[in-house]
Formats: sequence, structure tokens, C-alpha cells
Amino acid sequence: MIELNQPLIIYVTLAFIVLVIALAKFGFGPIVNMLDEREKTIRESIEQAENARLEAERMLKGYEEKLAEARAEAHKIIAEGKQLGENLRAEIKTKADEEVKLMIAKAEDQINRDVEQAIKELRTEVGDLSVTLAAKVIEKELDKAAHEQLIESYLSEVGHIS
Amino acid sequence: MSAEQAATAEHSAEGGGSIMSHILEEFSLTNEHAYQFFGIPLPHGSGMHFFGLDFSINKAVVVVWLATFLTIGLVWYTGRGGGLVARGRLRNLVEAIVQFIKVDIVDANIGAHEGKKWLPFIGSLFFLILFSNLLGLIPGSNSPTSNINMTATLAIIVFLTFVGAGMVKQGPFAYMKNLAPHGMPGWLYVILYPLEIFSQLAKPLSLALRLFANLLAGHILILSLLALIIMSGSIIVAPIPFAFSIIMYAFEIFVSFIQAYIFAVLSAIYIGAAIHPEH
Repeated sequence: MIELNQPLIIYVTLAFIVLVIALAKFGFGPIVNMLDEREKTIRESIEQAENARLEAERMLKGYEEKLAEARAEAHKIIAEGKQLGENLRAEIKTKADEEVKLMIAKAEDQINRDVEQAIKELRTEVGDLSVTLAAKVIEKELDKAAHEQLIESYLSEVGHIS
Repeated sequence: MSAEQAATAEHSAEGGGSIMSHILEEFSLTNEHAYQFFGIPLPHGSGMHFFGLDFSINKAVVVVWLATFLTIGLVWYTGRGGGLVARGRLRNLVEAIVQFIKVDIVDANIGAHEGKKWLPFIGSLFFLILFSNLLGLIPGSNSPTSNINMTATLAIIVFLTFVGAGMVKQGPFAYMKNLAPHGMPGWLYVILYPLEIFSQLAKPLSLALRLFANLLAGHILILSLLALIIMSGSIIVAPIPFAFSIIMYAFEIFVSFIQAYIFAVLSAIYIGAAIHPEH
């Protein structure tokens, strides 16, 4: 306890020297290096993660901008298309209307002409018939030109009546 | 052993003082059963004398070497862990202790730059004292740190180390000059120098006595509590000292860590003060 003990002094000194040399040679070095290395790795990993996060954020922002641009573009294109369609529709409609009008006019014209033709033919027929009839009735051959004049006047009267 | 027990019984019949002296004899390394460890006989006697020194192995020496090899083994095992990801609770525990010694004891008191060099020294002190304390708590073992020979040896090693480190770092004369603070009136140094030299000598003395006394007091307290059971000889009284001795035993484990820490941190402070003089 407190009396001198030579072996203990000697062995404690020896043990301590052995321990210091052993720990200095292959003990604490690897542990401390490993701890430093671990600290470095963790710090670097965190920095890398932070960088990756910033990069991702930047990219996301870029994509969002692009998306917004694309959306605006699409809106524009749709609006243009609508406008174009509208214009086209109006144009087609106008054209069709015009065509219809033209066709109606043509048809009317045709009809008028046909009617006129028919009337003319009818008139000739009626004139011929009348002449024949009249010739038959009066049994007298008249000058054809004089008769036609007569018939014309007559027919115009008939036309008015009809 | 029966003769021992008979002697104990005889002592207890005589009174408390005899029991205490008998208990204190258990701590002594001079009697015959200092030379067996858990029944294993240890080499001793004149056959173990070399160079005029006594190399007899007693049980305290066995515990010191167990602590030494336990430290080397643990640190070696942890160092061979490999990889940066910690594996295993034991490795994590040793790593945490090493990190604590490095950051809070060595780097904080010696400085991170010089600290790397001093880590094995302070770490050896810490682990050797810690494991000697803890192994000494095993019943039937011996507590070498409750023996003044071990604590004084370590304290003298620390003293020689910090004086030597200071002299190497500053030069012998500058070291002696820097012991006393500068800028005092000349006559004051007549008082200051003896005081500073005494304070230097007080450092190893306090280191040795603090560790020794704390550990010895704890063991004596536990044994005294158990001696109360023998003295009373009553089964009704027995549980009370027994319960207290268990509480004291737990406290002793705590003290083992605290005293190892205090010894290491004071050594670091002394070394730090020796190699970084105040200007």
C-alpha cells in the first residue's frame, strides 16, 4: 500500500514504456487517421450532396422555365390556329355564299332563258298553228310576210292577256 | 485458508481495530498471498533478482500487465477495423474514447499542432490507469492504482516528461527563467523562485496522492462496510452494509473513469504549460 514495492515500480515503468511505444507505433495512428478520414469523407459527402441539390434545383428551375415557355408557345400556336381556322371558315363561307349566289343567278338566268325560249317556241308554234288554222279557216293563201306581221301583233296581244 | 479464517475470527473477537488492520494487510504486497493471482502461484523470491533489482511478480504487477495488454489489444483491434464506416459497438466505444482523449484532453491543453505527438503518452496514461482501476475492482484481484508505488511511478514519469519537454522546447535556462512570471520587482523573485519550484514539485506529488488516495479510500470503504457484517455477526443488520457496499461499488466504477480522466487531463495541462510558456 504505502511501503516501497520495488517490483511494482519496475514493472509499471516497463509496462508504461511498452504501452507508449506500442500505441505510438501501431495503436492510435490508424484510429486517428481513420477518424480524420471519416470526418473528411462525411464533410465531402455533405458538400457533394449540397452541390447536387443546388444543381438539381437549378435544373428544375430551367425545366420549369422551359415548360412555361413551351406552354406559352403552345397557347400561341393554338390561338394562331384558331385565328387561322376562323379566317378560313369566314373565307370559305364568303366564297360559298358567293358561289351559291352565282349559281342561283345562273340558274335563274337559265330558267329565264328557258322560259323565254319556250315562250318563243310556243309563239312560233302558236303562230304557225294560227296561220294554218287561219288558212284553213279562210281558205285563202296569204302573203307569208304580211301574215307574220299580223300574227305578231296578234300574239303580243295574246301574250299580254296570258 | 482455514488458518486465515481462524485468524480473522480471532481478530473479530478482539475488536474493530484488528479487523481494519487485517483488511489493510490485504492491500499489502509484502505478505505471502501477494504472490498468487486467483490461486495461480506467481514467480518470486531470490530467483527473480536480476541486476540487483527485484523482478518478483506480485498480483498488482499481473493486473498492470493485463491492463497494458488489454489496452494494446483493444486499440489494435479498433485500428484494424478497416473502412470508414464504424463497425461494432466495441470499436465505436474505443473510437469515442480515443476521440475524447485527442480532442478534449490533448488538443485542448497541448494544442492541436503539438498534440499529435503527445497523444500516445496521454492515451497510455489514461488507458493504463483506467483499466488498472477497473481490473482492480474485480473481487479477488488487486488494485495497483491503490498502491502508492504505481501512482508515484506514473507521476514521476509525468514530472520528468513535462520538465524534459519544457527544457527541450525552450532550452534549459529559458525554461528555468520562465517558471516565474515576468515583470515583477527584482526582490520578489527571491520569494517567487522557491515558490515556483515547490509548485513544480507539488504537481507530481498531487498526481500520485490523488489517484492513490481516491482508489484506496474507495476500497477501504467497501471492505469496512463488509467488515461491519462480520463485526455485528447478525443476519438482520447484514443487508444494510451489503446494500451500501453495492452502491459504493458502482460509485467506484464511476471514480475509476473520473480519476483516469483527471490524471490524464492534469498531465496534459502540465505538459502544455511546460511547452507553451506564458510571456
